[in-house]
Amino acid sequence: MTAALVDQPVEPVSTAGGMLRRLNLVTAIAGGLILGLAGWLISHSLLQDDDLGSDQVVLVTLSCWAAGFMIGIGALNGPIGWALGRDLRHEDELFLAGKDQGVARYFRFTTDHKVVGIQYLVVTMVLFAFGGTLAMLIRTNLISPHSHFLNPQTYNAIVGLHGLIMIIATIIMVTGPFGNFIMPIMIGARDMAFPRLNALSLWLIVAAIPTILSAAVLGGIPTGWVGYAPLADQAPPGMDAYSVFIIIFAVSSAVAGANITTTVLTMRARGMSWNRTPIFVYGTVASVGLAIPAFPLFMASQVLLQVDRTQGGQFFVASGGGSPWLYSNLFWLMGHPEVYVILIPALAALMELTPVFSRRPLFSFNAAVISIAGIVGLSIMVWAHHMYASGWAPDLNGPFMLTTEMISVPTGLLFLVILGTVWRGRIWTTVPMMATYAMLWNFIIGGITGIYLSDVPADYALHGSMFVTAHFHYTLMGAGLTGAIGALAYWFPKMTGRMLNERAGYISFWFVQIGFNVTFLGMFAVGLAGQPRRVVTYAQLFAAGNFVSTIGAYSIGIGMLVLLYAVINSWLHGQVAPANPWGAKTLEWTVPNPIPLENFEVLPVVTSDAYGYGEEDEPASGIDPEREPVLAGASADLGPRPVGASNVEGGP
Amino acid sequence: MTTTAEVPVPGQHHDDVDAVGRRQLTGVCLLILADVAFVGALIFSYFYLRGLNTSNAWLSDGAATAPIWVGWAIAAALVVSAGFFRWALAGLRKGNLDRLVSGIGVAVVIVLLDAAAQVVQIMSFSFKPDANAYASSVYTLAGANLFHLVLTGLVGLGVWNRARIGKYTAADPWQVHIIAIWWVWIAVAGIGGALTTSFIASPNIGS
Repeated sequence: MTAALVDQPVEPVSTAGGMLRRLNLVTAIAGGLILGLAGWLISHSLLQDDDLGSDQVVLVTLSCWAAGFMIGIGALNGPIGWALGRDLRHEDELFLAGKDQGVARYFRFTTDHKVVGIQYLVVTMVLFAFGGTLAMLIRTNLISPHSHFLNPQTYNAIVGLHGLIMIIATIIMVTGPFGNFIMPIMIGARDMAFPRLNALSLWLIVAAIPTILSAAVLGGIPTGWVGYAPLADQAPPGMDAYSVFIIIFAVSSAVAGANITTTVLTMRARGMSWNRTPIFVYGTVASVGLAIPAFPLFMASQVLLQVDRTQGGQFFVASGGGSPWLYSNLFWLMGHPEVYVILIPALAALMELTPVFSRRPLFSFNAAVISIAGIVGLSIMVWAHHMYASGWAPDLNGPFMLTTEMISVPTGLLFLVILGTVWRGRIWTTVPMMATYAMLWNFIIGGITGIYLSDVPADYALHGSMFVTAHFHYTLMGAGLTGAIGALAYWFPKMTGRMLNERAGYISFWFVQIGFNVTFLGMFAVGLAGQPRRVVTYAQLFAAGNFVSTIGAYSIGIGMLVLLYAVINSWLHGQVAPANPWGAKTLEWTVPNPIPLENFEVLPVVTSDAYGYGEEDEPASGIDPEREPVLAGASADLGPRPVGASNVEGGP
Repeated sequence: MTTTAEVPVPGQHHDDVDAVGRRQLTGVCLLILADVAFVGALIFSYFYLRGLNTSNAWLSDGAATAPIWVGWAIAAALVVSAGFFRWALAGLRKGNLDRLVSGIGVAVVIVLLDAAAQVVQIMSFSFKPDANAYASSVYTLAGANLFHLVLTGLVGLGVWNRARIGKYTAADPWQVHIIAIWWVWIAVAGIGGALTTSFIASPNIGS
């Protein structure tokens, strides 16, 4: 890294970027701390509150932290400059894009979509590391019926934090890193439609992370990740941290959703008609398109919750005319589309890479598109299946059961698309392709158990049990996270310029997948036997299943650590990747390594679809995909690259 | 995917004005969609709790309510300001920059006065948010409208300043056009809030 920095060109004194030259992550943290402290002092004195951490004080302090952080990173410089009539010069745009700033651009309000993609990847990994550590603590506590490893309050707080952090991480794990880094190049664009909004969405999440972590010292989130009222009305100030986090995240996701959707709608390359647009692009747009109307509902629920908590509001208090069902409806109107916000892009990434490693066209592209559209359409009509047992609108249980079961039809179609693509393909077995196999296995279990749970009588028996926990882990982790890992292994060479260590990748794969199935099949067993979820102790009857689950969880943990090692080690010291190591046909593989700042020297014109793999075809890059030695041959031509460099021009 | 080279684009790359304008319009419409969902959720909450009337406590007998006309007056002012903004936009399209500046200026003044009126209304409610579900809902809708007004006032000040220093021309009216759409949306949201709070008593009495 140091060697790379020494190579930076020495420029004459420049004013490009203006005040942004002096703003970075350090000034952001300083701004957040200063404004947060000011907010705490002012609110504490104005409210004349003896309690240093009352709901109002916590709300004001955390909001001020976030505002200070965003000011400190430079998020407001653009809007203020616009209002004052100071339009950006070309040099300012280049500075904002991170040109010639080396590693420093990753710690600034940088607008280059490739930098934002890498930042999202790192943020996602940090969230997974934190959430995964909490999962290990939970499973360690559950290794025996009365382990007393954690006290009940701590256990409750950890379960809530684990759930929320993992949900947020899985929401951004594909559309964040790959939707930002890969997707614009895949459609032949030079950048996102709104580069500054792109940076804004990323830094809002970074600003929000400390707020949710603060919940750990503010009494935790005793409601689980769903934040159910009326318990949320009575919970400690950790719940205020939860609300602030969700509100910031909702703004971030709306901004990111508008940006990605606009980019795809208006910036596709000439000739890239909808039937030539790669399926990953469809998956990304479906995900963020669902998020645009869905997350504001979650945000609204948190605004109402804060009115209850800080102003004595009655939204969720039955004695004051409120109703906890209002919260349930607002939450699940977001909550079930959110499942597909997570799943669709992960499955689309696997549909993108499966033809590459099967050397066959995507089986029925139209069916894939229709199934994605079908899932999106139905996903907004199934929310109340989470509320069968709550007593809300029993007459609607039947219709919601029907819509929920109907969603298995387009989902099954996606299975057929992937199976049809693999069928009689010339399979090139790689870590990304293994992810496809693993997803097929895991998601068939997650999907079928979901059909059980969509059935009202079965749900009455299984609601709130470990069976439900196992089911959604099979879908969100077994299919979603597995898809994201496959996407990482597939696009790693393009994002970093280096190949992911294949041996470490395989070791990680088997530790994670075996551990995953051991953990959650065990959880299915104890759930069927009647163990409720979110309990700190349990009956001796469930001891064996829980012990097995905990051993499986440790295996996942080991596998994830190996993956982390593989990513860091390969990024720093991995084999240099050629421009198109897989012989793939989408546009991102046509750009050189390192990728130029504006991606394309000349804008591409698309003349065929992206899946023309067949016996008579020739790979677009001229690389023979059947020959793995292409990796070594190409890397020899490219020569050594600086240690720790990313694959983005303009840096080291 | 087969590709062929198009016209080479050297280092400095910019799309044409209309392409950028259409792109910005698409993005803002999507952000408005998100805001529609948020405002819709607040209105849904109002009608849901009013219809449910849990414990007959939506608005107990004799409880204070907000005068309906104030909400409508604030909404009407918003409509007038949106009208001035569109009048300014029409002026820009005809090349009349004086009309652009004065029209936006009037629209901004009305919105800022409207924001002040919204603050006065909130401060003078004869109930607190903790009185009942109706009170909580009215406060929240008024707060959301105030947020809209302040945000629009700030954006309006920016666009007015840019118009004043000659940043807009008849050939490139896109930013003003896009902000006009936002202005219309907040007027619609204001009407939605006023209409919602016009339905006070619950139809579900005695459940």
